[in-house]
Amino acid sequence: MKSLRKIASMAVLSTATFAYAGTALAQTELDFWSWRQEDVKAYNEIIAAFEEQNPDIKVTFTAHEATSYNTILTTALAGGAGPDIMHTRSYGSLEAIAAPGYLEPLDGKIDLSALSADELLGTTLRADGHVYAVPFASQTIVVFYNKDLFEQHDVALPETWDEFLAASQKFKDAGVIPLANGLADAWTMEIMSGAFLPNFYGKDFFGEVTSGATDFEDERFVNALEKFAALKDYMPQGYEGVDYATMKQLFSAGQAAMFVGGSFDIPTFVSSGVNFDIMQGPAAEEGGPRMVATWLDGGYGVNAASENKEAALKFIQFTATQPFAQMLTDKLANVPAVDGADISDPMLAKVSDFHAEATPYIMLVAFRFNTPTGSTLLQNGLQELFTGKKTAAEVAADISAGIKSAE
Amino acid sequence: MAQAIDTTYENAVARRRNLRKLWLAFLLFPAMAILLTFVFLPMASAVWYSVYDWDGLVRGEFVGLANFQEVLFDARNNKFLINAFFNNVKVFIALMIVQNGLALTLALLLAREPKGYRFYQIAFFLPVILSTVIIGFQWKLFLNPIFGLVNTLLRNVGLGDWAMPWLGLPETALGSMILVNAWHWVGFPTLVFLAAIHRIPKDLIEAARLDGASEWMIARDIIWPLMAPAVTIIVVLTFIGSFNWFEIPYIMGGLEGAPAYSTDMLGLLFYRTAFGSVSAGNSDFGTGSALAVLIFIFIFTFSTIATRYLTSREVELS
Repeated sequence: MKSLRKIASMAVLSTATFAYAGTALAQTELDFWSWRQEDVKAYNEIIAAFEEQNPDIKVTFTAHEATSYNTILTTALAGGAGPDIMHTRSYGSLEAIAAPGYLEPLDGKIDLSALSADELLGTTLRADGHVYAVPFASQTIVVFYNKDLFEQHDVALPETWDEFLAASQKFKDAGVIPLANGLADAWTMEIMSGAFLPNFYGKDFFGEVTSGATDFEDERFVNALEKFAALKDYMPQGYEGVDYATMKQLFSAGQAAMFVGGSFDIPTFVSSGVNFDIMQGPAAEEGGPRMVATWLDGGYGVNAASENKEAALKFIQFTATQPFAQMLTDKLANVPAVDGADISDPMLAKVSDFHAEATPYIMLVAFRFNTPTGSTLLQNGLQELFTGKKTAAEVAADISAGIKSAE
Repeated sequence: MAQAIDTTYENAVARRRNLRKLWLAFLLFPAMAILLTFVFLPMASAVWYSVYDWDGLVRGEFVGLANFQEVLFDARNNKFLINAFFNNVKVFIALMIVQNGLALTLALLLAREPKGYRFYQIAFFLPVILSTVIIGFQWKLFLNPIFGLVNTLLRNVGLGDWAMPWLGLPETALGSMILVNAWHWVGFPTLVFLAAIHRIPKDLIEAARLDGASEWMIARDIIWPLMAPAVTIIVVLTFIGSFNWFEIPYIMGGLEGAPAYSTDMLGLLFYRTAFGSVSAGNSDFGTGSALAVLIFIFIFTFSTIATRYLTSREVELS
């Protein structure tokens, strides 16, 4: 009996304590969803910095499995639930959640002046022109090269297409795989094309093809595909069956001299210990531009149905500032979308420098809104081109017809 | 008076019968509830979804059969549908010949109980109990053009010219996957055939042997007709399995049926259409559901016809 009374008094005491703590802080709690499972620790640190300045807001970061994130998020939003703040994808995938009205329009509510128009394009809904997320980081396509192999075989860094082919030939003759890339994972072919095609089809093509002034049967595009197809002689033996994992293995193990990939591959090669550096794809001819294809990876959006919209917008404003961008690059090795961050990582600084001559990663940026997407068409077209099933002109005609038929 | 007793008796019997019916209904309830919730309800909802327009996960207006029309007759979609359908047909034919043909041969050999046949029986059946996901990944590694076991073996025995990027060429990718599937499943039809052969009375076969029938004649004229029920089951299961084929092509060729749609299947096409993919665009539940309904109708109709036809040909053991 005595112990029962003791328990009861303890219960009363603890309830009172909790009630007191509750009134003292009166926190607004925000849910923040993401697909970046590998970034949980860094995000918690970034959130801690935000909470320090805003003690009345508490943010809980939850990372879902990446490949099913879109499904999890859209299902939650469609059911009237979902987080207050969320990581959104960009372009076509953003449209899938912004168009049905799940996201809060941000222009006018958030100061977006630290972001360039190009970056904002990735989070703007084409239908109404409003911005629905704060862009967070861009990805860039680069050519990775093995410094030791270039030195060992006395190969100069290629700057033009002809030099690139000559260098590849030299490696091939020496028994080194010039390019680690393969066809088996179709998306890696699209990535690879991003390092070569733009420098052949030139600066103006993107604007013209997106405005409808020309189409993908344009001579510049056909010519670019034709040139690009020459690389199949420098890919690994059996490249048709080489998948993403194998490519990275070939490059990490020093069996291949070069690898075309995204800036998102940098951490893999850093941890593998291979002595590498990065360069842009070669210029079509001497003195020509060496553009890198870039795209916006995603952004931070606010749930239109959130009950804590004011606090959520406060956090989103924080993501559009320089201190946030600085943490993003320092802690997550990203090239932040927000201007003004000082990039300390030498590899990232290099990527950022490449952006001086950048071109939109064409299919993802402009042709992933309808079915069939430009990406599907290009990826399968490239598989057909590189297995010799179709010519460059036939592939270009297929892409053009597919894009025109897209609803 | 006698009549009154009769009615009471009849009433009692009727009451008992009703109670029994209630009791049976009660016993059936859990199974029916599970079947309803997890089989019939999803099937009905697929039909329901297929007659609406969908914007991602948001249901739009009623569109009747427009989604079906889009799947079947829209030139953008039906070229994928036709391609995938004929790939499924190829898979069915190839599995019938390779997997079930091999299984029948193995069953006939094992039925003669050669030395160590228990061991073989287990060895052939072992891959069946492995997870398909594991088998898909394992064979993807075996077939890797550079590090893979298959090409390494070919090179080591002097057949380097035969070493190929098996999963990368449109000509060999589907065939490789079919062989992997046959390797995975061959033990199952073998076991079913073997059981069917064991059911045949031994004296029938011995009598034939005494009459001077050759082993081939015994297999063709006695064993084969008498194992017909097992053949029916295996043909129908292979048919359903071939047209629902998803795991192996998904793991080994990806969602787009790489390379260049040569390993595309109805199942992959359905998944891409309904749920979308990173490259292939956003999800469309309407056309996806319409496609699922069509696949279901096709499999259901043909497997029913096949079962009827094959059953009518079965020779029953008396």
